[in-house]
Amino acid sequence: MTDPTDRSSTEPSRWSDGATDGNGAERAIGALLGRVRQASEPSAAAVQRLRSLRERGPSSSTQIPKHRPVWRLAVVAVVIMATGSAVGAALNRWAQVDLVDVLGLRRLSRPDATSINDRPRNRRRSAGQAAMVTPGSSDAVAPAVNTTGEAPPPVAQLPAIVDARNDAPHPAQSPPRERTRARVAPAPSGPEPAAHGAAAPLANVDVGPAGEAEPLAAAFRELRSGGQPAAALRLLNEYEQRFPGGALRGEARVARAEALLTLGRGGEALRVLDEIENQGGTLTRDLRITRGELFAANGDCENAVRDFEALLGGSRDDAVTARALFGRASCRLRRGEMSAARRDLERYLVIQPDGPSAADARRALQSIR
Amino acid sequence: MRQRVGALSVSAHKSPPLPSDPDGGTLDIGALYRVHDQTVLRWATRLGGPGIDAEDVVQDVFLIAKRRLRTFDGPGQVTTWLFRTTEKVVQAARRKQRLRRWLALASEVGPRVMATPLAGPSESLQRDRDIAEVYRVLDRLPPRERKVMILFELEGLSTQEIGALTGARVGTVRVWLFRARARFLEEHQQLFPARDGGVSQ
Repeated sequence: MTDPTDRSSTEPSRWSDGATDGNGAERAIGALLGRVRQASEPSAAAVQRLRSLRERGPSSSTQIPKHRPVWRLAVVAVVIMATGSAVGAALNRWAQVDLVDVLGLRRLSRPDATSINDRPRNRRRSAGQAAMVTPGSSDAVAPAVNTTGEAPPPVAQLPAIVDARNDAPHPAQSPPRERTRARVAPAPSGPEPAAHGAAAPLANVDVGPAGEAEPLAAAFRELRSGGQPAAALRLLNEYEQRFPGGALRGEARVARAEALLTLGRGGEALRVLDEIENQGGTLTRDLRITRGELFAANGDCENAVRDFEALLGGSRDDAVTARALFGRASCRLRRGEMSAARRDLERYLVIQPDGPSAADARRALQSIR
Repeated sequence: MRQRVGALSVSAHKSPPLPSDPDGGTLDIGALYRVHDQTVLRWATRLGGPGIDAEDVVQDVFLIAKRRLRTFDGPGQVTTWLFRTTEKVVQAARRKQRLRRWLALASEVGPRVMATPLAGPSESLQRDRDIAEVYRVLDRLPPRERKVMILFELEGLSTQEIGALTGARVGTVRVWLFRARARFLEEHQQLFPARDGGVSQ
């Protein structure tokens, strides 16, 4: 081959003309190209067809029906949909595999680790069954709702947040829990006792040995279905004696906090909630708002406001946000920060105009003005 | 070449003038078709390769030309403009063909062969094999090298003519050709290593 960068060189020789000074391969390819060159000359018939079209004029060619079957588009659409659904199913399946469980790690080592029974899909299936709280989920609320609807939410038992003014808001009643879904407890195998008919079938142990889950599940049954927080506490004590470093100790702490709140022992519940965070767990929004309210009830507005502000960092306008606003407003009123408290109360009323503390908030606003 | 008209003329006429032929007369789409249909057919046949309906491509090219003739403002010749249009239409057709192959809606080589009728079935078979072999290698080249190889070796254009059509300098075209040939040899050797001399005889 000639050097293409040589400007003085003449036109390169054409392989297909047989003019090559190269090796045998180049000559053979030249011969092949020559044959193809000859064979690819448009046929006379094609030229004739074009000429006949020309006679009619190119504009008429727009009326030539083109072979564009719709079913090909349908095939493409089906392929895309099938691929999408397959990928979606695979992702969904993958998302249900709890790596923490697979790797045998402890639950509290990853704050958001939840068992397969805690996944939303399975939670839906489990609604109405007895609940059990794990620390790693937004539903893991210490004062969790009793699915039987018998016991009031423990948060309602929190001492009222005291205002500096006599006519200040007095949230004696926390907002009723809107959530009705509940978690399914890790449980021992075997049928559910008849006495706890509403409780979950406790065969879905996915973390830890069944022996460890059994006393914990019994504690939750006492707490949620039986309405016996004291009995639940005894069972929890037994659990912690038997399994001091158990895989379900996070769940045990949440259960303990819930039992203590139900018994009105807010100070102890606060310590338990603190322990959860201090030992590597992460408090969910519900647990954090509970702790903030407990701090506020104990007069520790500094820590309470820290929890409330952590919850108000996002842009969500849910019940937890409303509680945080109301709690922060109470603390601000105590500190005499009237205008800031008014803003919080006004925003609270925007989020929950008919909320459980709405009347208190309106009274407080009137007194501030 | 394009007739230039002043602003007043343009406002008086709703559309700018059509391109004119070298003789100075206004060139309409019919004239374009009469002059260039065979050339476009040849380009389409060779750039597209087997499996592409070259006559369809020609129709599409002239439909586009008809639609855009009023916006043609050079600076190149009409042939350059037509070539670039052909190239784009062929690219679209090849993309479609690849998709059809991927969906198994089309065979490797389309039913519409690109060749002149030959004497007998054995010659016809050999011709189809040759074409398939060459285009199988060509399709593995980068688009620019594929184009230069086709225009030089199959279409028989000189490097100056290729430069005029593609808007590249002659030296550049020669570099592309040099690389294209080297790549062609290499790819052919990879695809057909067992052949005597690397080529079917």
